[in-house]
Order: sequence, then C-alpha cells, then structure tokens
Amino acid sequence: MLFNSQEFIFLFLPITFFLYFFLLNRRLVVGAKGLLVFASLFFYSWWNIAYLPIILSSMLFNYVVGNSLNENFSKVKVSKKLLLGVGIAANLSLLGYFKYADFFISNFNLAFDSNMDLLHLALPLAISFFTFQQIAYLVDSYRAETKEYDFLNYALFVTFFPQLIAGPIVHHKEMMPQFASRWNLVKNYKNIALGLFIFSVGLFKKVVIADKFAIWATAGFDKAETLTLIEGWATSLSYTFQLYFDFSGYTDMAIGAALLFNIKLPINFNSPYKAKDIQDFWRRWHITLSRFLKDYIYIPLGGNRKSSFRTYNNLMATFILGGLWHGAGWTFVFWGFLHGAALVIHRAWKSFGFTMNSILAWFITFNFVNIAWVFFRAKEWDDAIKVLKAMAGLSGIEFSTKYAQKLSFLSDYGVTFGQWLHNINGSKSISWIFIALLVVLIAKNSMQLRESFKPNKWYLIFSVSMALYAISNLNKLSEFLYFNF
Amino acid sequence: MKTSKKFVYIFSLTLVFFLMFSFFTYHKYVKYVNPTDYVIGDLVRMSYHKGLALPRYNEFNLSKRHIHYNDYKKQNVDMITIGDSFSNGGGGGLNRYYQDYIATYNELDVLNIPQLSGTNSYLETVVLLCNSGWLERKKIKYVLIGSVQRFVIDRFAKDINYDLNTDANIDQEIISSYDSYNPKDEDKQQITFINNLNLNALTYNLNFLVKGYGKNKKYYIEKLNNDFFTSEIKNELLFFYDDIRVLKDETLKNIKKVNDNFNNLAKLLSNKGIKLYFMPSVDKYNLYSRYITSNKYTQSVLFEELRKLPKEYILIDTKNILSKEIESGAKDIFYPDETHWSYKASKAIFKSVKIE
Repeated sequence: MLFNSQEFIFLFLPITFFLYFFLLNRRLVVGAKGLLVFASLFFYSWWNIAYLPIILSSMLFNYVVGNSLNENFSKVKVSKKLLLGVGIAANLSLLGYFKYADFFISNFNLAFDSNMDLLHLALPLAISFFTFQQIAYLVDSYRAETKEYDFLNYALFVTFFPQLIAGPIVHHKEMMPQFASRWNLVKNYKNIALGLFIFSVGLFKKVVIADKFAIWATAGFDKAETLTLIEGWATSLSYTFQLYFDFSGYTDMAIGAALLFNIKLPINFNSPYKAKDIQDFWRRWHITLSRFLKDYIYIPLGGNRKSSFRTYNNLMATFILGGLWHGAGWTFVFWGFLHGAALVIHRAWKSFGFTMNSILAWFITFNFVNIAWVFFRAKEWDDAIKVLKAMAGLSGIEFSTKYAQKLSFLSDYGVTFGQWLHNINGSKSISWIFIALLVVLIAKNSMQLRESFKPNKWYLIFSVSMALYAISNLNKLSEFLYFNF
Repeated sequence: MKTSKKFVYIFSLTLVFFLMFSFFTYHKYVKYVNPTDYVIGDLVRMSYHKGLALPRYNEFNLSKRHIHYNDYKKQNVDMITIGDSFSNGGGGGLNRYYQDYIATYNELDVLNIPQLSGTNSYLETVVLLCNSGWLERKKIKYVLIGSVQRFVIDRFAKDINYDLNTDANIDQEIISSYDSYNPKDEDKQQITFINNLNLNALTYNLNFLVKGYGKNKKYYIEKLNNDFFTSEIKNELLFFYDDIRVLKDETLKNIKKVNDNFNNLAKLLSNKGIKLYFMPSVDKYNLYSRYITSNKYTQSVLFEELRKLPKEYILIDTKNILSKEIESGAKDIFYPDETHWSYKASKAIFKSVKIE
C-alpha cells in the first residue's frame, strides 16, 4: 500500500488510528500494539503476501540473535563477535540473494564468458530498509546499547508501517522508549494536528510536484537518444527535483502518519539542494542513511582515525557500498563512486585550507549532484551517456519555432528550430524547474514548517488546501479531445 | 490542546465533506461523462453539459469494412485515406468510420494510414508514398486526404517538400504505428469517485447557470432556433472554441496556398494514374452557425472561397452536402455532444460523392 493512495488515506489510516486508540482507551495496551503490528503487516502484504514470511522470519531471527548478544548472552556458548558476524552475514545473505544475485550472475557470465541462468527474483518490498535497520540493531545489541527486549515492541520497531517501506532508517534506541512510554498511549491532539499538517505537505510534494516532474524525467530518459541540449538539461533537472520532492514528500508522510500514533521519527531531509559542498549535502540528504553509513561502515572501517590515505579509502568504500545499496547495477556503483570521489576532493581541498565563494560553491555542488543523478536514474550506462551528451550540447541545440525568425542567424551555428521540448512533452518544464529551484532555495522546508507550526486557521487552510488538492489529483484524468492526438 | 483539537476536528470534517461532495458530483456528472461501457462525446466530457449527451455503442452494420492500419496485412488496396480523428472514427457510435461507407457503396478495398514520421503533414506523407513507388506497388487508384476544417490552414497552407523520398519499410511503419485514437484497454485510465474532475464539473455547471450561453473554458454553448438533435436538450449547440478562434487564419492568401498544394500533389499523383480527393470536415460551428439565435461571431469563408478556385483534385464539399441534409430536417448530423459528425453525415456524404 502506498501513502499516496486513496485506500491508505481513507481506509487503512483512519481505521488503524481509531481501532488503536479504542483499544488503548479500554486499557488493552498489548492488544493495541498487536493491532498496530498486524496492521503494519497487512500494509506490507497489500501488494504481495508472498513476502510476508520473509519479513517475519527476518524479524524473529534478528530478535533471537539480538537478545543473545545482550546480557542474556551468558546462556549462549559462542563468542559474541562470532554471533554478531553470523547475524550480519545472514542479513546480508538475504539481501544479497534477493537484490544482488542476478547482478553477480550477469557479471560472472560477462567476466568468464559463462552462461549461468539468471534467477529473476522479484525484490521483496522494503528488504533494504528492514535489513539495514536490523543490522544496526544487532550492532547496537553487541555494543550493549539496546535496553528493551519485549518482542511486541521489537516487532513494532521493525514493522511500524509509517517507516517500513522507505524509512527513515531508525535506531532501536530511538524507537523502543517511544513504544514503551505510557505517555504515548493516549490520544495527543497536538501531535495529531502536527501529523495531519506534515502528512498534507508530504502528500502535496509527492502527488502534485514530484509526479509532475516524473512525466518529463521519464519521457526524457526513455528518449535519451534524441534529446537536444535544453531537453537534456530539462530531463536531468526534472529528475533531480522529482527525486527530492518524491522522497522527501514520502518521508514527510511517514513522519506525519507516525505522529498520529505519538511516535516521532527522525528527520531525513534538511533542504539538501541548499548545500554548499558535498559533505554538507550528505548531512542534509537522506540523513538517516548517511548516519547508518557513517556509524556502521565508515567508522568501523577506521573513519578518519588513521592516515589521510586510509580516510580517503574509507570514504570511497563507504560511498561505493552506499551506491550498491540503492540498486544492483553498475550505474549505482558509479554514482556512489562519484560521490565518494567528490567527498575525497572536498576533504583534500579543505585540508589545504582553500576557500570558495559561497554562490560558486553552491552552483558547483548542485550541478555535481544533478549530473550524478543521471547515473542514478538511467536504466543502462548508455542511456546516462546519451543524456549527458545532450546536456553537453553534442546532440544538437533546438529552440522553439516561435523564435525562428528573430534568431535565424543561429542556424549558421547548427541551431535548429522545432516544437519546444517536444521529446519530453515538457513545454512547461522549464518554468516548473525555476519555481522548484526557488522553492528549495528560499522556502522553509517541512521540518522548519514543523517548528513554526501552530494549530491556527492559517495553518488549517494551508493544510486542508494542500491535502484536498493532492487527494483530488491522486486519480488524475484529463478532459482531452480526440483530435488533440 | 483546545486549538489542536479544533484543528483536527475541522480538518477531519472537511475531509468528510470532501468525500461526500466527491461522491455526489461523481455520480451526478463525472461518471456519466466518463463511461466505461458506452461512448459519449468529447465536448460533453469537457463541459459536463449533460443535457446534450447522446450515449451510443460502437457498432457496425455495413457490408464491407475498411482496413485500419493496425490490421494491415501488406495487401494491395484500391484506395488509401489519411487524416485526423475524423478519419479514425473519433465520434464513435454506429459505423464510426466514413471509410466503411466508401468501401460499401463503391465496392473498394480501402486502407486508412497514419501520418508517417519525417513528414510535416498528410500531404508530405502522400508525397513520400508517391515518390518511393509505394502507391504504384500497392496498385492504389485513389487517395483521400481528410482534415477537420479548423486545422486546414495550419496543416496545408505551408511549404511542402515535393521531393521527399525514403528507403524505409513503409508497410512495416504503417503496421507498427501507435493507434492513439483507439487506446488499448490497459492504456485507458480508470476513474474512481475521488478525482480531479469533480470540482470542474461543479464549477463549469455553475458558470453556465450564472453566465448563460457563450464561451466557457474551451467550448461554446449557444441556443439554436430549431431542434437539430435528439438528446434531452434538442436546440443547443456545443462546439469547440477553436471553431471560432482559427477563423482569422482563413485568409484568401492561405486558402489559395492550400489549393495550390493540393493541385501540386494532384498533378504528381495523376502522373501515376491516381486521383486525389480532399475532404475538409466542416466545423460544427460553421455548419450550424446560421441557426444560432443572435449569432455575433465571425463567419467562415473556407468552403466558399475554396469552391471558386481552379482544381486538379476533387474537393468533397462537406459543408454543402451536410447543409442540405440539415435543411431537409435531418437530426444528429453532428452528435450533439461531439466535435465529430455522426454516421448520418458519413452516409450522406458518400451517397453524394461517388469514388470513380
């Protein structure tokens, strides 16, 4: 089930909410939490119930291993380190089998000219998220940083539907106290009002903004071969904004939905496109993933505690793995490599004590991120190259026929005139890109809005308008005429 | 806490009200004009002016059918047609393709083709087919180019490249063209009662209620001095705003350019023994304009001027033929809810015009 679906907004969420607090009102705390776990598993199974056993067995396995790693460990006669290693290996194997098996087989076939059959496994929903979350739990248990061991709360920690599908990736220690707190077991209108507000903002970002950019980005990447200079830039920038508004919108909806149940999820985005260097970008983009990569890969590898060379290596390794986590393909690996390389360069730049004008720094950072997203989005390596070629002006420059007469001298330089941005059906895309750029640079982000939120009439009008407009557009049809084709 | 509670209650009540509004508007208007089991006109879908709706089913009862390009098996045919939605059964309902009347009345094998890539109009597509030898190979005797009147100037009053040629596999390109006029079931959007059209349905109807006849959004509704339709409302004309907007382009110079282009193509085709027919589909406004009570809009001159010019091709004067039908009392020559004419128009036109 998606947050931006009518069945979620009008059925699943209100029914779950009312039943949860109804049971709590009757002081049936275990029943209420059980209901929330059941509802989350129902939410998870909505598309395909076949993957339910995977998440259930993963949850049980990690709960047992995690418990064995804490003070109860004395009952188990194996080394703690070995147990942790086995636990992590089992999680990574599960992820590797479903997510990376075909990637490794196809590369093996390529390298050794063999002909092994691909497995063609469908990726179980949210496996990357719940696997990472539980690896973190095992490591925290090993470090004796986990304190609460109730299975129901643990099941809720793993399956809690607002953060199950796409994060934020949460720590055991920031969630368990909230599930255990008695204060969170009563309806809190302050949280509900704030939750409705944040959810509405997120829904608007996803449905109205991101889905609009998605049309142009998809068309552009599908027709990468025929893109001209401006179409190339419109395509990459459309994707840059689509991704941001989509993911941050979804995260807002997760945070908003969780607040209805008095659960505070960590922030995941903090105006990343305002970043003035790549390190700053990663402090603002998908914050909980960055935190995970830092705490569980970069620092265990040695972080910056050893030589500069080792630090650079650790950065590269962390980001290449981060790239691979996003998807099983060389384009993702290369995207991770680009970000790793940028961080290395940034670190070296800082170590030399160089500085840069802040506007130029922002411009370089934003464009680097935008160009790197091309590899992240492209289905194939070739598609990425074609889009970049178009962006470099190597596939021709075309202006609207409206300017054919005024700018006719440009024809001598190879400029052609045609239907404006017709390859991406995006005659309005440039205006949207400018508006989106202004919004991400100037407007308050949803976390700042959350800080300033007051349950007054203006916020009410704002939230209701955004929610209703977005909900209306969940099922968007056009009053087209046949002859427009 | 008190204000938060108020916030939550008002927010929730608004959502409930929104659901009720959506449910009501959807069932009253939107569902009716976006049906799944019958066909309804594009203009009523744009205007939600339900009284002019004329629900119908796509059916055929003629003895011979034409070949649509997706069903083409590379066989030889007598005639090809090319054009916009009028040539692609846009109006729906009984015998929606005029080509079926040509096939039946003249015992001809008729193939409807799409515009080919690399050409700027239907004229250039025919040039390409002619220069590449495809028309001769397929033993084509007749070519018909159709276009809705409102796009005639835009499509044909421009420079045409009469030297266009190609080595491409034309048969394959015809077969594999995407048929946007007949979307596959999986491409059709499913509508639920919460959608982006409910608000439009309400505001458009309110606007008509307040403002009355005239222009509204992209369509006009005007009162007629007689009953010309069999819908619930029989004497109102619903037409697309471009029917009037583009009349300013109907200059003598443009009309002459159109005529010259068709003459040039007709000469090119006649060298190969092929006859060219040009069928501009008269606009709904143009056809019914003299019946509009207190008509204050510009009048079209396209057909009147085109008739006067010397021709190497055969002009199918749809305005003249259909005007006579209307005068004789025929109803629903155009569907009341459509920009397209009905099967009655196709029938009348090809009873009057023999392909020979």
